[in-house]
Amino acid sequence: MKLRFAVFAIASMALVAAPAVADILYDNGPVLNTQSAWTINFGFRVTDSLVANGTVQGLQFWALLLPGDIVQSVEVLIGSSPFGNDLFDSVVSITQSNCFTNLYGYNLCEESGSFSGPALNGSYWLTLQNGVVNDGDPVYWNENSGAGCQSPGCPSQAQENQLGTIPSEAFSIIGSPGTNTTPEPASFVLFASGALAIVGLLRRKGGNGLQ
Amino acid sequence: MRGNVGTLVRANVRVLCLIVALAAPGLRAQTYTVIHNFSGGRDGATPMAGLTMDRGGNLYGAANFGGNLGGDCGATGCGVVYRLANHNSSWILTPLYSFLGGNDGMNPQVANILIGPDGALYSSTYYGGGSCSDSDRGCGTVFELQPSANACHSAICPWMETILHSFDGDDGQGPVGALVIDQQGNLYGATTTGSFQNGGTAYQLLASGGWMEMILRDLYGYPGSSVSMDHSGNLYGSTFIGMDSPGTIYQLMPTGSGWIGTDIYDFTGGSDGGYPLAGVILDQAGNLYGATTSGGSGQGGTVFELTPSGDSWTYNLLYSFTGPSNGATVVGPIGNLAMDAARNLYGTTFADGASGYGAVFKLTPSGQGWSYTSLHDFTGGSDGSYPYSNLVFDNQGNIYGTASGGGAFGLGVVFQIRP
Repeated sequence: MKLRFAVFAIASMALVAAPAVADILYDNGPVLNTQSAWTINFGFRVTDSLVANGTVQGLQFWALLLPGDIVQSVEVLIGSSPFGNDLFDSVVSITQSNCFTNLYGYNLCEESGSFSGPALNGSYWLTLQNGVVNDGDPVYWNENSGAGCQSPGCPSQAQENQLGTIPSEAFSIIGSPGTNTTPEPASFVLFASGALAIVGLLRRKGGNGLQ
Repeated sequence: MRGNVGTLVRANVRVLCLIVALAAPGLRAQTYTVIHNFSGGRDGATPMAGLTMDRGGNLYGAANFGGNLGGDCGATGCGVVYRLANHNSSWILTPLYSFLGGNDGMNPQVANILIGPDGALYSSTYYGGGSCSDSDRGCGTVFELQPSANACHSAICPWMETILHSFDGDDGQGPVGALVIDQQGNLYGATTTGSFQNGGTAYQLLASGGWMEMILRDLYGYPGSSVSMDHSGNLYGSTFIGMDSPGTIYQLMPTGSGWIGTDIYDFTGGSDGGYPLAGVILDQAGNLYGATTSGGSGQGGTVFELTPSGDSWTYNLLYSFTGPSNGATVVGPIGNLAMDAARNLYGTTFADGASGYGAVFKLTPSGQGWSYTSLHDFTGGSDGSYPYSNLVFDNQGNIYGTASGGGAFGLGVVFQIRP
């Protein structure tokens, strides 16, 4: 009986303490099937604000592309100010998926990149620039104005490096949530059951001692 | 015996294969493809104008509706000027300018785009442009579109519009057709109505005079197209009706003291056709080629040639279209004809063809006259219907045009026909 309590307690605590799998730290909403999109190469840069708590492990964004184009990489900046790179600045390899053609003949594609990013806890800015496609064409970041965004702090504020304020774009930040992230109900249950098990185990130990 | 039969069958199959192989080039059908379905959104709706191709193979056109909605533009929209660019065998539509209505102009109807020497686009809107003596929607504008001076920051890169002239009714109303530009940069065109007889005008906009308008001729009867210019600077056009006839072909000759206008052919409405809306095109010898919307032996309109001989012109009937199958009164071509290097003529009919929704045709000269080939008969479904369009060719011989209705949204299409 003691052994069963001990195993249950250790397992419960371990589940609470184990590092979480990659999760969405910030979501500014899905792609919109429009032609509105901003250039993120040829010297044009777009920055979007985000609020996140956790360690960044990657990003997803939607690109508007000329037919046949495949995004190969994009330079990702994360900073504490618009266009800032004080926390992260690296060229990230991109995997392209879920492409579809819009009414105008452009392709809209989901672009995903994994990288070891910084630990975030607050408000930051994500900047995309120097996008590269297979044949040197423009890369456009799809504008969604934050429609359908899911995260605290959304929709993002956004700026283009020459025009200033613009509507925000379709993207999400992937990573492991931070320790002061508000726990989900399931985590509470696990933690509570583990704690109860330990208390029960200690009581039994104490009872045995008194006897 | 069985062996002999087998040998015979195999031999026949070989012969049949050879015949099919030899016949294949002649049997090869044209491939008709819709390369854009107008949705009524920012891409526009109801393209009545045909297309213009630049040196890079990009196509430019105007959609009568769509674009901006509400306000002066109402529920149908004020219309859009667009570009179609080919990329990796796919076509991308970019709206270049969406009209705002009011002083800005609205509804570019049968108004093909002219590409100027500097790459600027010139055309007209049927309505808008401010005060108008005969319409609360405005009498129309002539406009210029230039790409933005700044590098493009986004996928939509609107061009900058300049209104060159706003018609007020007394100086013409409802400009139509493709503008013509001369070596001095002056623009020439026609209006459907307005001016002295309210029958339309042929006009000139002077580039060096702040685009001041000069009426070259008060026309009698509602031209449906603009003018064409020959090597000597003479202008030619058509009117839907004449003083005493169902349409005319006119000539305007520049002189030191102004322009002299002459009706060089009056239609009878009989076998020669009547009520032309298409303008005329010229070959290298100065012959004119045009079309009528009705009349002819089949009552479906005609294609004709006018040959200069001294001071007069000789009419030659090239082809009469089949009569209307659906009671349509305008059946024959509305858009101008096109001629290839082999002197074949191409065009669209508005309501002819097997289904009565219009057709794309080719007329081939031969010793016995001109033979008609249908390149596509519109069905009124996803392939489009009722083309007003002229046709343009790329350097591979592909043909491009527009149909005002049908398509995926019922709001018109841009099509390609591969030979």
